[in-house]
Amino acid sequence: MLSRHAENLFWIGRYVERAENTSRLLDVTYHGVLEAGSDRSPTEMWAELLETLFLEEEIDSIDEGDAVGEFLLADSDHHASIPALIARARENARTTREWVSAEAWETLNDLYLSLNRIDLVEAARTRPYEVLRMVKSACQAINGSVEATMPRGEGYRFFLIGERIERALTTARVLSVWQRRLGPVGAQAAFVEWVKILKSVSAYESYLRAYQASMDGNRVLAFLLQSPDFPRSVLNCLAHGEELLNALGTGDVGREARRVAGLMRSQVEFADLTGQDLADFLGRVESGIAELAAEVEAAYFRPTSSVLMHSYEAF
Amino acid sequence: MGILSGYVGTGYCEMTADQDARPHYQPLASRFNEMDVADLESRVRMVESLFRRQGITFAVYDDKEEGVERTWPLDIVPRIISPEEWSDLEAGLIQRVKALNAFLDDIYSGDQAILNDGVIPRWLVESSSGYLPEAHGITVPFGARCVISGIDLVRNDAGEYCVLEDNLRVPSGISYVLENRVAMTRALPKAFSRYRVRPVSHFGASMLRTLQAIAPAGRDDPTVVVLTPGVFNSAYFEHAFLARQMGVELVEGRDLVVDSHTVYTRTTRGLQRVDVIYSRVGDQFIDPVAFRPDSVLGVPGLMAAVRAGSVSVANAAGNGVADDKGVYPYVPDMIKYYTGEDPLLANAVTYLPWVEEQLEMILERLDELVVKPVAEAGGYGIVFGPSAGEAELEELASTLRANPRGYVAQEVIQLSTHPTFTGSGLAPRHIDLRPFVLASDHVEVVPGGLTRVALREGSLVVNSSQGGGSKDTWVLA
Repeated sequence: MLSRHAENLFWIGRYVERAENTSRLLDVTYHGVLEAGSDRSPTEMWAELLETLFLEEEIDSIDEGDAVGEFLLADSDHHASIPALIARARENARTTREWVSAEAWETLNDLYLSLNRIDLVEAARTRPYEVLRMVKSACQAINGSVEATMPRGEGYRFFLIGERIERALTTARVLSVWQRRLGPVGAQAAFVEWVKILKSVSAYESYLRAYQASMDGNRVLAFLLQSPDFPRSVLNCLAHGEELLNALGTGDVGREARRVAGLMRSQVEFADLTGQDLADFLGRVESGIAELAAEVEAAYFRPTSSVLMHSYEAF
Repeated sequence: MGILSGYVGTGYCEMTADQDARPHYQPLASRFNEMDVADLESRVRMVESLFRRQGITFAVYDDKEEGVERTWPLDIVPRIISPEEWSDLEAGLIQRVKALNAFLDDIYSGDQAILNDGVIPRWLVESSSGYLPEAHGITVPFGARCVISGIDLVRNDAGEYCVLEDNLRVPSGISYVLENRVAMTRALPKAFSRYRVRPVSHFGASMLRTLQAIAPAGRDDPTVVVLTPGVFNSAYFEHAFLARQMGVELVEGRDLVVDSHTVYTRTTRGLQRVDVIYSRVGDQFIDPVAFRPDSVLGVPGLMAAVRAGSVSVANAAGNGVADDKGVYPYVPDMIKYYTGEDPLLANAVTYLPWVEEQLEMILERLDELVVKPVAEAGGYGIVFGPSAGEAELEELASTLRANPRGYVAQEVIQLSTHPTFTGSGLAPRHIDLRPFVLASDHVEVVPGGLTRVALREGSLVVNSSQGGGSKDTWVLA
C-alpha cells in the first residue's frame, strides 16, 4: 500500500473520531452549563472544554455564553471545528478513494454535504443538540460501514489505528484535565462531576452496569483507564492498536511502533493507580500515546529505504 | 399526447426526420411518450442525487484560482447509434489512430520519412509546442504512442460525420461514459430494456490489458499504475475511477522514486517496482529533470528511465505534435501516406493563417469563422466569429497577423441536434461525440463514447468546462 494512502486512512480515522468526540464533549458541556447542581460558572466549563480539545489558545475568546460552541460547531475556517474536521476527513478520503469502500465514502460524503447544507450558526444558537447528535451518529455510521464493507487489509487497519489512537488520547485527556482541576481523586468531587466525566466518553451506562451506581472517583478512573471491555477505555484502545500493528507484519518495518504500543499498553494495564502520583502518570500516558502516533508515522508514512536518491544523469 | 408530440428538431436531428422518430429511435420515443414532465424531472433528480452522493464531479476553473466542484451533468435522453453507423465510425477511428501512431513513431524513433518526402512541412512540425526533441530515439512497444485517445466527432446539418479534433495526450471523459451508463440503466430501465445496447463496463479490463501489453520486455505480470497531478486537477475523479476500474494503484509524483533508471512506488512495505505508467500529468510536468524544473507534479529521472527501457509511459511524451491543430489538417495525408488507404472519416474544413492567401480570406471572413488556438484543449481560447464583438475581432485579426502559426480557422459547423430535457420539456440542443480508442498490440474502440451537449439554446459549445452537459450513448448490437 502506498505510504501516502496509509497516512490518509490513518488521518481519516483520527478526524472522524475527533469530530465524534468533539460533538460529545460539546454536548456534555452544553448540558453542564444548563444543569442546576453545579456550582461552577459557564466560563470555567467552556475553558475546560477548550483545554480538553488542546485549544488553550482560544480561552480569550470566551467572552460570552456560546462563543465556543459556535466556533466548534459552525466556524468551518477554524481547524478544530467539526465541519473543518469532516471536510479534512472527506478530502483525505477523496484522494484515497480506491482504498475507501464506496459505502464508507458515501456515508462520509453525506455527512459533509449535510454540514454544508445546514445553517450551522443558527443551529449552534437554537438547536445544537440536534446537530451534535446527527454528527455523532453519522461518525458512528462511518465506522460501521468501514467495519461492514472494508476488507481486513492494510487500509482498514490504518484507519482503525488512527481511530484508536485518537480515542485513547481523548479519554486520557479528559481524565488528566479533570484530575488537574479536582486534585487527588477524593470524596469531595460531587456526584454530578463523575457523571459528566463518564458522559464525556459515553461511559455512563456501562459504568453503572459494572458498578451498580456506586459513584466513586477511584472506580471511575480505573474504569476509564483500565477496563479491558469498555471500547473507549485507554487500555482497550491501546490493546486494539497493538493487535492492529502486529497484524501489519512483524518484520523490521514498524518495530519501534510495536514496542511503544506494547510498552504503553502494559504500563496502563498493570498500573497500581492508588500508589501513583496521578498527575504524573496521566501525563505520561498522554505523551506515550503521542509518541506512539509519531512512531506509526515514521515507520509507515515516511519510509527510509535502502534505495537512495542519486543525482540524475542528464536526460 | 406524449412528451415528444409536436417536437420539431432543428438542423440535423439525431432522433427525428420529418417529425417521426428514425427507426432506431422508435422504441425510445414511444417510451418517452408514456412519460410526462414531472416523471422526467423525478428521474433527473434521481440521477443528480446518485452522482452527488457518489461524488461524481468535475471542477470548473473560473477567474479565481480555485476550481468549483460541480455535479456531473447528465441529460435524461440518451443518444442512440445504429449498428451500421457505428461500424463505419469504428473503422474510421481505428484507421485514424493507427496513422497517428505511425506518424508519431516516424517523427520520434523513425527516419521522419513523412517530412523528408515533403508530405508535411518540416517547419510546421518543429514549430509545434507539443513537439519534444527530447523524446527523439525513445522506442515504444508496437509503436503505441497514443495508447488511449479521444477523437472528437461532430455531425453537420447534412448528417455527415467529421473529425473536429484529436486528443492524444490526456483525453478525459471515459469515466463519465461508464458512470452515465450505470445511472441511465437505473433512471430509464424500461427504455433500456427495449434495446440491445453494447456494454461499456469491460473498459477497465480492456484498458489494463492494453497497458500491460506495452510493458518492458521480460516483465511477466507487469505492474501498472495511474499517475495523477493530484486531487486539485479537474479530472481527478476520473484518474481515481480508472485506477479503481483496473484495480491498480493511483499514484502522485511524490509516491514514485527513480533509482538506477528503474521506477518504484513508496509503500508501507518498502519500494515496489513499476512497469507501466498511465500518466495524466502533462508532458511539461512529468519530469523536472528533463522538462520544467519548477514542476512538483512529476518524477525526477522518469524520462531517463523511459529511455533506458525499464518503464513504459502512456500516452508517450511528445504526442502533442500530432494533436496540434496546425498539424491536424494533414492527418488525411498521413492516413494515405502510412496506410495507403483513403481516409474513412473526413476532417472539418480548416484554413491556415500562415498561408498568405488563406490569411487574407480568414481576415475578410473573420465574423463568419471559428478561430482556435493550435495547442489548447477543453474549448479554451476559441473565438466564434458570428458571436464575437467588433473589438474582439479586431484584436483577433492583429493576433493572427502577429502569430499565424498559433491559430487555425474553420467554417462554423451547425452541429446536429438531439432532444434534450430542459426542465419544461424536450428541446433541440447541439451535440458532439468523443469516442475512446485503445491501441497497443491491437486497436479497439469503446462502443459509443461521450456525447456532449450544449445546454444553452443555440450554443455550439459542448465542453463541460464551458457549461456543457452529457448524454449516455447507446450503440446498438
